[in-house]
Formats: sequence, C-alpha cells, structure tokens
Amino acid sequence: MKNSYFPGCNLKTEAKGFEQSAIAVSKALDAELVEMPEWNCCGTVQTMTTDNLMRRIAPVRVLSRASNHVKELKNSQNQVITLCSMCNSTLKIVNAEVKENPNDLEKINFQLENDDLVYEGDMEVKHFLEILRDDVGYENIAKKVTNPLEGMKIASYYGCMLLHPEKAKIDDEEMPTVMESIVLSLGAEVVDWPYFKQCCGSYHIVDRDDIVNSQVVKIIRNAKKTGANALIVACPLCAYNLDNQQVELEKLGVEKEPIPIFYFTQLMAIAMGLPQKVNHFEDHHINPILLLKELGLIGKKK
Amino acid sequence: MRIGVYVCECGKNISATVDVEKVVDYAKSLPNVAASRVYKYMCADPGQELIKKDIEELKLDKVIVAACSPRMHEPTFRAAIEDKGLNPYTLEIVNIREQVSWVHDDKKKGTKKAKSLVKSSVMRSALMEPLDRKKVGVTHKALVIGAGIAGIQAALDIAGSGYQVTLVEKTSSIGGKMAQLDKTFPTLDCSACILSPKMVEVGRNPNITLIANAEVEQVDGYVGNFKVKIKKKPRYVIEERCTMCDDCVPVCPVIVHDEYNENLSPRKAIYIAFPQAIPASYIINPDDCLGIDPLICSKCKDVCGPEAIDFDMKPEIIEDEFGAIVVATGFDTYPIENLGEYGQGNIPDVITGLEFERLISPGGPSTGDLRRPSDGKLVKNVVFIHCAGSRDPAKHLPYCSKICCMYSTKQALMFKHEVRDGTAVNFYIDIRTGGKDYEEFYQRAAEEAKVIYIRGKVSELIQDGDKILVKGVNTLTAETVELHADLVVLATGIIPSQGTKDIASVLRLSLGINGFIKEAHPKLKPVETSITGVFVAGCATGPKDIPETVSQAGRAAVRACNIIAQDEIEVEATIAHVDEILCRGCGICVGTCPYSAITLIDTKRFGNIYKVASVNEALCKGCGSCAAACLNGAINQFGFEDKQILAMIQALGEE
Amino acid sequence: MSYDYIEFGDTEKEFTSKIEEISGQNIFSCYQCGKCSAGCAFSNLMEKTINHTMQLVQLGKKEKVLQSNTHWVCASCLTCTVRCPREIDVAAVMEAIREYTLRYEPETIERLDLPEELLKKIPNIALVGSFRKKSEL
Ligand SMILES: Cc1cc2nc3c(=O)[nH]c(=O)nc-3n(C[C@H](O)[C@H](O)[C@H](O)COP(=O)(O)OP(=O)(O)OC[C@H]3O[C@@H](n4cnc5c(N)ncnc54)[C@H](O)[C@@H]3O)c2cc1C
Ligand code: SF4
Ligand code: SF4
Ligand code: SF4
Ligand code: SF4
Repeated sequence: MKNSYFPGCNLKTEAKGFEQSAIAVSKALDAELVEMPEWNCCGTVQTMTTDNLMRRIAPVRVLSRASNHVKELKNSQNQVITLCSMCNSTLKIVNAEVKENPNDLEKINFQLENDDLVYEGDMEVKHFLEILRDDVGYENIAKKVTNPLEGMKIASYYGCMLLHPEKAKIDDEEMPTVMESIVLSLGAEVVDWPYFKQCCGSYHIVDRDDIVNSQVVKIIRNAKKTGANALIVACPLCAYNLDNQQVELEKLGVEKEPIPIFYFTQLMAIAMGLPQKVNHFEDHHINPILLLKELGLIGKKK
Repeated sequence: MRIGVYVCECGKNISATVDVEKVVDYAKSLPNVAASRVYKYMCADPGQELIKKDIEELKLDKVIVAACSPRMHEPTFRAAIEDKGLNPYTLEIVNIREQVSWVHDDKKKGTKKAKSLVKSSVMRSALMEPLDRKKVGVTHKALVIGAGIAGIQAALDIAGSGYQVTLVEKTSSIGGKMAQLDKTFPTLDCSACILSPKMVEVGRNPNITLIANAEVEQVDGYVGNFKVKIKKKPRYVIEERCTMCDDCVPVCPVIVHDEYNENLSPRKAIYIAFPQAIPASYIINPDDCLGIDPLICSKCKDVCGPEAIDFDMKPEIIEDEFGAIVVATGFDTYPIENLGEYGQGNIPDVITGLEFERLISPGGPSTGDLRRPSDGKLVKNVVFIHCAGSRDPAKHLPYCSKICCMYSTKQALMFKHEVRDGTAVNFYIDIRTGGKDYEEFYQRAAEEAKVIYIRGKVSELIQDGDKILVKGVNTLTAETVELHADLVVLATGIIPSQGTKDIASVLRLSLGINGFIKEAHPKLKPVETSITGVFVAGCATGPKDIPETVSQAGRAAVRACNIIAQDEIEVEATIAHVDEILCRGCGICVGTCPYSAITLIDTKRFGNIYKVASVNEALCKGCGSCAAACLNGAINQFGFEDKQILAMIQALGEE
Repeated sequence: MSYDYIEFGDTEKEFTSKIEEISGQNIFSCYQCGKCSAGCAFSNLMEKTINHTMQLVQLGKKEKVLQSNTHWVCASCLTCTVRCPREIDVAAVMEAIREYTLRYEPETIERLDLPEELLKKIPNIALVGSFRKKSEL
C-alpha cells in the first residue's frame, strides 16, 4: 500500500530524522509514505476568522495536488498523510470547512485556475498515527518488533493540535490512547501522566520564549515525577520546544537533568531494528543516544 | 343554518396585531352567518354569556370562536354551547392568537390572515354534524410502575382513597434513590428515617399489592381498561419464609460489587439490598450465584433453617387489568465516564454525589467515617464541582439539573459536621436555591459551617501524587486558581433512568428532547401524559427534589382515582371510521396508527369473505393518521371529514 | 480603576458586532462560567482572564479589551474551545481580537527585531505561525 505524503516545511530541515524514520517505518509496515509532488506550505496555523478565504487557499492547493497524486499512485486511498500536528490540524480544518461550504470552495478553486488545479472535496487528511492505528493495526506493529524497548518508560505527549478542535482531532480529546498503544506494541512501558495535552507554547517560541519555558518546565517536571525517562511527540514544533528549551532551561539553572525527546517513528525504527542513520539523532538538542545505550537498545550485536 | 362568529381581543394579545372589528365585519358578509361579535375576553363569563344569549335569541345552530388555541378553551366553549342545547361538536375554534397575532407583527397582514382563517372555518362549520361521545366501563384498580419515593407515595395515596393498587418495582426492594441518601436537604433529617415508615406501610396496606423484582412487559387496552403483563423474576428465596437471619451470607463464596453502595463495597450472591428493604427478604442474584445453573453450590440452602431457598423458582407472568397507570420510574445520574476532563472515572478519588451519600452514610462502605476510595485515608478537604455535565449544551446536558446545587451544599454541610477541621469548597456557576427554606439552608452552610463557595467552573482534574489537583477559576477575583483536594465530588446531572426509557416504549409515551417523559402540558397538566389514563410522577418527567416529587405523586394519584372511581367514562368522539365499501383491505392504516387501534377483520360481501379495516373506538385517539394514509379515502374521521377539510382548503385558496 | 460607566452607544455595539463577525461566534452565549480561563495553560500570564475578556466584549468595552495582553498571550491551543459548555469557539474570539487590532489599529503593535541566529534556529512552522497570528502578513 502506498500513501500520498505531505511533508510540510519542517520535515525537510530540522526534523529530517522524523521524516526519514517515518518513511522507513512505513515501508516496513507496508503503508509506504510517498512524497507528493509540488507541495507548498499549508499555512501552518489555521485561521479562525470567518471572513478570510485567502488563508484557505494554500491548504486547498495542497489537497488538490494530493488528490492528483493519489490517482497516480495505484490502489491508494483518497487520503493525504502528514507527520506534523500543525499541518494535520490546518489541512483537516480547511478540508472540513470547504466541504461544508461549496461556495467558498468554488471561490478558492477560481484562484487555483492559474495552477490548472481544482479541488473536488474528495480527500481525507490523516496524521501518520491514524494510519498506524486504523490501516496498519497495533498487532502488526508488534509483529515487526525485533528489539523491544525494554527499560524505556515513555510519556506520550500529544500537545493540543492532535486533539483540538473537534474537526481535527485524531482521538478522544480528553483521554486519547493511540500513542500509548503504539508504545505498548513496541515493548516499552507506558507512563500514565496528566500533562499529555498541555500546550507547549507553540509559535510563542519566536518572541516569547518565557511563555514556552514556563510550559516546558511544567510538562517535563510532571513527566519525570510520574517516572518517565523519555517523551515521544508527534509534531516537529512540540519536539523543538520540548527539546531545545530543556537545554535553555538548564543553562538558566531552572531545571536540571533533561530527558530526551523522540519523534514516535524514531523509536519505532529502533524497535523494528531499522538502520539507525534514519533517525538523525545528531539534530537533537538533548542527546538521545545516551539513554538508548544505557538501556542496551542500540549498539549491541545481534 | 345559522352560524354565530365570536372574535376575541384577548386583552391586547390579539387586538394589537389583528383588527378585530374588521374581522367581525367581514364575517358578517359570509354565508350562513347570523351573528358576528367581538369581546375583550371571550373566555370570561360575560363573553360566554354573549354566546349563550345569541343561541337563545337568534336561534343559532353553530358557533365559531376566533380566539386562542383550541387546546386552551375548546372545553370551555363546548360546555357553554352544550348548556344551551347545542351539540358540543358543532363548535369550531379559529386560532388567531398562537397562529396569527403571536407570530406576526404586521397588523394589515395579520388581519388578512385572520379573515381567511375565519372564512375557512365558516365553510367547515356549515358541514359539521353533531357527534356522540361513547362510553366504556372502568376497572377500579390502578397500577403504579416504579417504587421510588414517587411510586410509593402515589400507591399510598391511591390506596388511601380506598382503591386497589398494584406497585411494580424492578429491583429487589422499593425505595429508589432516596433509600441511598444519607440525609436530606433542607432539614438534614435522615433519609431512611423518613422513608422507611412509608416503605413499611406499603408492605402492610391491604389495598397495595407489591410486586418487586419485576417489570411491566406489555400494556394493551385504553383508559379504564389497560391489560397489563408483568414479568416477575425469580427471587430464589421464598419471601414468606425468609426470617432475615443472615446465616446464608457468611457461607456464600461469591463476592461481587454492591450496587446499593454504588459499587464501593462488596456483597455476596445472596443478599438483601439494605436492612430496611421491602419486601423484607433476601434474594439471590442468578447472574452471580453458582448454585442455580449448573448446580455446583448450595451452601446457602444447606444452612438456611426455615428452608426458604428454592433454586427451582421460575419467572412468573402476571396478567391483570387496570383502569389507570402511574409511571414513576425515576432517574439516573449522568455517567462520570462521559466527563473526560474530570478523569472519566479513572481517578479513584473523584466520585459522584450518590457515591458521596454512601461514603458518608453510617450504613455505607466506610461506616460513616468518610474514608476515600483509593487508600481508605480519612478525608480532610473536599471539593464539590457543581453542574458536572449539566448546563452544557456543547457536550453534555443542556438543562439545569435543579437539585445538585442543593445536594452539593447539603453534602458540604454534612462533611463539615463530620470533619470539623476539614475544608469544603464548592465550585459553582450560579447557586440555585429555589425551594422553601433552601436559600436559608445555603446561607447556613456558608455562615455556620464556613463552607467555601468559589464562583467558577473547574476545567480539569489531575491526579498529583496522592492528591487531586483541581484547576479552576474564581471569576469574582478574576483569577485562575489551583488547589489540592483529598476527594472531589462531582454533582453529576439528572438523566432519565433506563427503566424510564424502557417503560416509555412499552406504553408508547412521548418523550421530550432530553429523554424525560413529556407532560401533556408543561404548566397545567404536569402529571398527564400523551396517553389518557397514564400519569407520571417524580424524576421520570425531569429533575426534582423530594418535596416536589411527593406533591406530584399526590396529584398523579388523584388523577388516577378520578378515572378508577367512575363506572364508565366517555371516550373521544372525533375518532376514525371506515367505509367498508371503499376499503380494499390493504392494511396501510394498520401500520400507520400509533395507537394500534386498527385491525383487519373479515366481512361478508355478495357471499364472499373480504378483509376490511376496523377501528377500535376506545383505542382511537383521533389523530387522523390513518385517514391521511388511506389511498382509497375509505377512512374518515368524525369531526374532520374530508368534505369539511376540502371546504376549508377551497376557502383559503379563494383569497 | 474599580468604576465603570455602562453605556451601549454605537462604539460599544460596533466593537461587539465586529468581533462577532470576524469570529463567527455569538458572544452573548457566554454565561460566565469561567471554564475557558480555568483550563487555559497561559492564564497566569494574562492580564485579564478569558471569561473577563468575553464579558468586556459583550459590554463593548473596546479599550479595556485591547489594552489587555490576554489575546496576545493566547497560543491558540483551543482547550477553551473544546471545553466551553456553551459551544463558543473561544479561541476564535481571541483570534478575532488579534485580527481586529491588526486590521484597524496596527499602529498599536510593537515591531519585533528578531536576531539572525534565532531566525535560523527556530522551526519554520513557528515563524510562519507567529507571523500569521501576530502580524499583518
Ligand atoms: C446525590 C443526590 C442527593 C439528593 N439529595 C436530596 C435531598 O437531600 N433532598 C431532596 O429533596 N432530594 C434529594 N435528591 C433527589 C431525590 O433523590 C429525588 O427527588 C427522588 O429520589 C426522586 O424519586 P423518584 O421516585 O422519582 O425516582 P427514583 O428514586 O429514581 O425511583 C425510581 C424507582 O423506579 C424503579 N424503576 C425504574 N424503572 C422501572 C421500570 N421500568 N419498571 C419498574 N420499576 C422501575 C427504580 O428501580 C426505582 O426504584 C438527591 C438526589 C441525588 C442524586
Ligand atoms: S378566549 Fe383565549 S384569546 Fe380570548 S381572552 Fe380567553 S384566553 Fe384570551
Ligand atoms: S448457592 Fe449461590 S447464593 Fe447460595 S451460597 Fe452458593 S453462590 Fe451463594
Ligand atoms: S442545580 Fe446548580 S449544580 Fe445543578 S445544574 Fe443547576 S446550577 Fe448546576
Ligand atoms: S467557557 Fe464559554 S461560557 Fe464559560 S466563560 Fe468561557 S466563553 Fe463563557
């Protein structure tokens, strides 16, 4: 099975390890992510204004190109996959909005004429987590695990965009289970912690890192207190904020002993025994290799 | 033919939007109209006198009143014309209030619409014929379904009037939710102390037949003559023999959750719901017991001195007839599992109001000490969260559950009496204390017991070590607030019980949008239902406290007695009738009738047997569905004959 | 500061209806339960609570609403929206207040000077997101 995959802007740069591990995992699980051609930025944050169609053009352009891409890929479902919670949320919301309001879609399609594109409202947007849950299935993930993540105590961090709003949520907004289920199938221990949906501070990192820091402290302290030795995330921005700001907080003397942040497919790649280079751990701010070595999860001879 | 037309001003209710004088003048120009007048309040005595006088002096034979909805005053005006010898079914009401003045604001258009409606009614009136009301006999016995405080009170009141009443309860004991409460607002008297005398009286009263552990399976018939099938589940303990010695309980090896204690404590497969239970007998739950099928345990039977245990008991179907029915099937509380932000029931020390009642009760799982469920520690500070699920159209219940402000206040007060150095904090949006002595009770909680009230909603509850972190807001100081609690009590809202929904479908009662049984009129017929002869009391119609439940039960009892006291009662005259010549026996009407009043019967015509539809006159409510559905025009409804309706449509079309 | 004169003149009504228009929300659905404020992770940094802001929008108190930092501290996490019992998209109201400022009073917004190395380091999504929420871009 091949899936049309929309990378968005971060997965090619700071988060290349997220993308490469996800692609490697997707191949191993027969749900291959194939990058769609000619994609553009989705707009990152969806606009919540009612009167601004301009901001909905970029996502619709992505959807129409993805729709064409799906037709090229044989036997592919009408869905486009993202690896970023922000893209997932923006695309999902706009997709729902234009499906509900055909008049708006018509106006946007008029703008897309220059690109020879038209969007028919025929696509679904999915985060890769949904594919793993609904198309692949947890048992099939477990079957591929050759290197169970024994000793890892993982707090699954959802953040807000995977669960909010109603139109974009991938799971129950108050009590989600998809990430924990994946953690279990990888042979790691699930940490039951309440801060899984506390916002990381998001785009405030640009000019108000104090806001982000105050969130990161709360989240990380709670994860440690409940016994976690690592966090998994499903979004490059959450990853950056939790990863980089722990380092900053250490410099500021606010919080010591940072814990590593993984994108969920990086740990899947390790558990499934895929080549380690896909993970690009060198891009991380807190070195995850130390913990993995300590637990004997990498570097041992099979 | 001499028709009188009477137009009502209804104070300004009608005359503000309808030029009544113009309508009166217009009516005079219509065929057969012998009199046309306006009056300020037609329903008042002088208004009625006006009509009566005209009937006498002008020899009217039909009357039309253009006023409010026929649901309001049709009976008033029917009685008035009957008084002067006219047939009540020759009255026609034109609704120019709800259908004209209240829904329009343009006086010109309103007047025009009123005129057309009057015209169409004049046309119909000319074709109306006198009808007779049929009479049917009555069974002098009532059925009460559900034995919470509502059902108990209704049964006692009916029995007290000297009539036989059968009380059917689904569970092993009567008492309902009130039996689970510790103390009751606004007096703080002990719930069991005020309830158990009534329960004992139910067991003792010769006019009351109590059938517990039973459910009503089927109801046929109609007002005065309901035929009812009741399924009594086996108790496996012979009620009359059980001496309540409790010898069986220690030997029973099966341990399950105790529903009476809201699953906070264990019980055995053989048990009694609570010491004061009525019927006063133990019971075996067949789902829990090992002994019933297959026979692998009979420990209880072996120790039972009076030989009360009988594993061979079978379900029993009891068939009986009743003149009237009172439904009192009560409520449940909104499931905590739906409240994700409050832990969905996964945080052991976040409990519901009912669980709190059991925890603080001396007869409850922590024998009155108020120990919390997770680790049995004594509780020092409690947070009560009001409106848990209520007043939340976005995700939960849109309505106010009415009693939870008061019960949370009561529980906070009870807690403070129990734990004097403890703190009790209530998070509320609005405090609703609209009952006698309720406001004073709330003030007492704050003033005397120092219960803290914080105005604001809690957004999230988080397990933090062995405490619960409460994330709330204080809208009065305009700050978000956090605090740690040993125990959090959710004032979960009131929803119709499963039993209420079940019985509504057995009886085909209409439900309101929130699933409670719908009253015939929200103000003036609060215990009547969509079905004549079936009444409802207590929380089955919506959230209520005990005083309101009891008064409602009393009214339901009186209304039931109104029926069973009579030897015969009149049934609706505007019922359907079949023209057998036109009927081709297709049966479409049979499926259309919501009251199962139509059956196909055999009839002989030219020596052959044909199927034709036949209407049970007592069952038919005159809804007209069948008349509209019949493709052959074989069914008509008395008082709403096709020719009358067509005349109205034609009149409206002529404008 | 603890005195206010309530008046429903044109300015007040216009402000309220403009916010309603941009957000597509009925501001008057709010019954001041405060659940939005209670669940907001950033309320400790806000000068006014969210429900307080909602009330001020109902009353058309434009100056007070715009002076407060509440809508700028909002990170659009939408927790308020999913929990509001009255089905108000509260985050959209915050967005509408930002948009109102950006559209009608952009001169009140301070310009940012972001250092080069920060721009290099920070993920694109954060930059685009921030510009979209906080600037006229
Ligand atoms: C936590 C809490 C505290 C409260 N505290 C107070 C207080 O202090 N003061 C006060 O005035 N009020 C209080 N109330 C309200 C009070 O409990 C109700 O007003 C009262 O119980 C309503 O009685 P009911 O008979 O209508 O319903 P219920 O008590 O629910 O009784 C219904 C009965 O019908 C039975 N039944 C259901 N379906 C069927 C069926 N299909 N067939 C046969 N039987 C059926 C049930 O088993 C039950 O026995 C409190 C409520 C709660 C939740
Ligand atoms: S008859 Fe109806 S409309 Fe007229 S006064 Fe009475 S209530 Fe009002
Ligand atoms: S027969 Fe049933 S009720 Fe009796 S002791 Fe055995 S398990 Fe318990
Ligand atoms: S009675 Fe009070 S606690 Fe219950 S729903 Fe109404 S306002 Fe809320
Ligand atoms: S949660 Fe909704 S209703 Fe409650 S204060 Fe906030 S906006 Fe108003």
